Amino acid sequence: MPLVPEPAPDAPAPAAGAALDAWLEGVIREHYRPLYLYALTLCGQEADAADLTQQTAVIFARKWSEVRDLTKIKSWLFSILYREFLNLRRRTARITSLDEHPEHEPEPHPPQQAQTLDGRAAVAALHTLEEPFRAVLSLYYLEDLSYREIADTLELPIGTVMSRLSRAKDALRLILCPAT
Amino acid sequence: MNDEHDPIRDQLRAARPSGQDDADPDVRAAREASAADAELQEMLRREREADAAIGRALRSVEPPADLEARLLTAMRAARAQITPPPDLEAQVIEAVRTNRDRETLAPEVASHWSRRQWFGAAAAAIAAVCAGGALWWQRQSRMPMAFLTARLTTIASEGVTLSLMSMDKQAIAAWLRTAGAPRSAHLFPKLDALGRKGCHLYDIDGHPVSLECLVLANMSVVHCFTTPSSGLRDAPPTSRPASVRTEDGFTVASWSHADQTIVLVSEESAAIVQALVS
Repeated sequence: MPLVPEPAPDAPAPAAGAALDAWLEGVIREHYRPLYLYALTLCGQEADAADLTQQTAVIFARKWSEVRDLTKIKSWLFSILYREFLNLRRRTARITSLDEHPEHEPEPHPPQQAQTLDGRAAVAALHTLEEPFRAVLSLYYLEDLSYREIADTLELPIGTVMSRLSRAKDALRLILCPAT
Repeated sequence: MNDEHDPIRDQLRAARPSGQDDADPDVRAAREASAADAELQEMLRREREADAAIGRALRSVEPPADLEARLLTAMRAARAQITPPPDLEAQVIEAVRTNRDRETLAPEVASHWSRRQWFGAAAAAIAAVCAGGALWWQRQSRMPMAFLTARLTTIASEGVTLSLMSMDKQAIAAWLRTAGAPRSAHLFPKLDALGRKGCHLYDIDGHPVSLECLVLANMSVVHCFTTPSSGLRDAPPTSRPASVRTEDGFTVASWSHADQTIVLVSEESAAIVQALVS
C-alpha cells in the first residue's frame, strides 16, 4: 500500500511546509526501489546506481513543482533518472581508473535459462545490451510503466519503443540461451 | 538480432507479461488480428513466461539497506538549501555589480587607444619575463605556485586517472596514507562534506601532489590537489583566506593549512567554488 495516497488527476499541488516535505518523502519512499533497479541496469555498479537514485530524489525535492500532472510522477522520476545517467556518463567519460585494465574485467556471466535466472544475473545480462536497448528493456521488465509510458519517459516514438523492445528481447534471448 | 519486424508481433511483444496492458486498445486489436496464428501464439506464450521470470529476477534485487534513509537525508538537505545562503547571494550580487562596472568603463578605456597599446606592450614584456622566469624556476628545487597551477589545470583538462575509485572517505584517506601522499588534515566544512570519487598520487617535477576527486550534488567533479608547502617557492601564507580565480577556463582556489598547500580545480563557477571554501 502506498505511503501517500495517489492524488486525483485534478488535485491541487500539496500545501507548503511540513505537509509538502512529508508528501515529497512519501513519493520517494514509494518509488525508490524501481528507480534504483533501473539505475543499476543502466550503470551496472551498485554505488553509481545509489548515487543516481539519490540525485533523482534531490532533483525531485527541488523541482517537484515542475510535475504538472501528478498521475505521471512515476514517469517524471524515471525520466529524470535517465537524463542524469546520460549526464553522468558524459561527465565521467574523462575519468578513467587504473583498475580498468582488461585483465581485471569480470568474467562474462555464463549462459543461463531465463527461468532459473537470479537477480544479479538478470542485471548482468541486461547490462550486456547496448544502452538504447537496455534503457527500454529494463523499464519493460520493471513493469512499472506501459510501453506508452516508456515512450513518454525516454522521449521516443511509440513505434521505436516497440521495435527496440523486440530487438532487445531477441538479443537477450541469445545471451541467456545461446543454443535457441 | 532479427531485423524483420511485424508491427502486430512487436505490439504484442510490448505488452507486459503481467497482463496490465490487456485493456490497451492497440494490444487488444493486435490480439484479435493474430488469434488464428498458432505459431505466433505459441511463441508469445513462451516469451511471456521467460519475460515474467526475468522481471521477477530483476525485481528481486534488494537496494542497499541504507538507501532509503540516505535519499531522505539528501532530500531534506536539498530542501534546506533552496534559499541560497546569504554569503553566496552577496557574492553573486557583487559579481554582477563588478561586471556592470566593467561594462560602464569599457567605452572610456576604448577611447584611449595609445594607452592601450602601451599597456599591451608592457603586458607582452611582463609575459616574456614571466615565461623566462617560469623556465628558470622550473630548474629550481621549489616550484612557483603559477607553474603548479598550470600543471594542475592541464591535468584536469586532459582527464585524470584515479588509482583508487571509491566513495569512501576513510578508504581514500587510508590509501593516501599508505602511499605516503600529502593530505591536509583540515578541509573547509562544505568542501569536506562533498562526496568522493577516488584519489591518485602525482609526481610533478619531483614533488608529490595528491588528488582527491570530490563530487558536488549535481555530480560535477571538483579536483582537490594537495602538496607540501615546502615544495613551493611562493605557497600562500596560512593566514590568508583561500584565493579564488579563473585560470585556463577552470575556477581555481588555493590556500595553505599547516604545512600543506591545497589547490582546487573545478569547472563550476567562481561563486560556487568560493562558497565551498568559505
